Amino acid sequence: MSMGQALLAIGAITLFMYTAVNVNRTYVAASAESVAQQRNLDMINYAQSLSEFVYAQGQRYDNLDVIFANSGDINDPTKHHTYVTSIRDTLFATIQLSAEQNMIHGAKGRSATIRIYTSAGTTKQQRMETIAVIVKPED
Amino acid sequence: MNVQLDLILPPIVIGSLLLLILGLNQMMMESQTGNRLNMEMQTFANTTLLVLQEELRDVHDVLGITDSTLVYNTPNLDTVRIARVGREMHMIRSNISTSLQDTTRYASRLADLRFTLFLLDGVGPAMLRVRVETESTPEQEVGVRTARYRSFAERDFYLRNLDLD
Repeated sequence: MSMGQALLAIGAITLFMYTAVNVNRTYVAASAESVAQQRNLDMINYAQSLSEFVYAQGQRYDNLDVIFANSGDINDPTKHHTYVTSIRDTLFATIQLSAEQNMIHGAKGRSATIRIYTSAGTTKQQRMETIAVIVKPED
Repeated sequence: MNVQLDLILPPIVIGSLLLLILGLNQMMMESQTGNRLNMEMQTFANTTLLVLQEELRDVHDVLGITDSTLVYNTPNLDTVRIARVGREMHMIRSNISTSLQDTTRYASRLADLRFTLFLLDGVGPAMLRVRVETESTPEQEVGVRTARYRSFAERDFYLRNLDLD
């Protein structure tokens, strides 16, 4: 085999190795994207579950401040909600109540802002926010 | 021994390149199919939850619940039984006066469907936790993988009618 042929063969293999590595990288990126989508779904479903939790407290309207007293601080481990998903991802959530305000049709109520966080090293990163409204029961 | 490298090396190089090309093609097919199946399984899991969300608004009275079956009455006294049958979710609605049954079958690709009824904080309103797990089948996949593509969806539902009655 001449020197020219050897260089050509090495060049061809190098090019294909480069392609192989890039295809592998795409494969890993696609898998990571699938996991990210699952995490997003889990976050949306957790936020919806907490909305249902907020609605469920509507019958205890006068005690809302007590019920949600330990739900509003992401930096204090005793004052936020924690949930472990099916893929063993830990999500954190805070629920903050507004003051009583006027709603449509003359009703009064309070809104609860639900925020979902994930752990980013030592800090928590907010990933999602939704609002649920609790209408004050008529006297 | 007189070895003629000129004759031996080119077929080896071409063979290696062919193996690389075929390997890359297989990996790309697996990757594409995997992405599609992952997306499909996630969509099926979430859609199953949405279907259940709509149906659970009608729960008037829970008649029975096991890990995988939920039986309840609607406000117009139809009895509804929701269960996983194989890879499908079946919703069997029976009319109390005529005893006629109407079955709706959802092809949800289920691997698991679980219901858990619990009281909020142990004493509060009734909540229903639904957990859906979907899974692909070997026929949908490329190659000879032993692991399947799976997706999960879990949500709590507040059973308002049950609470207010």
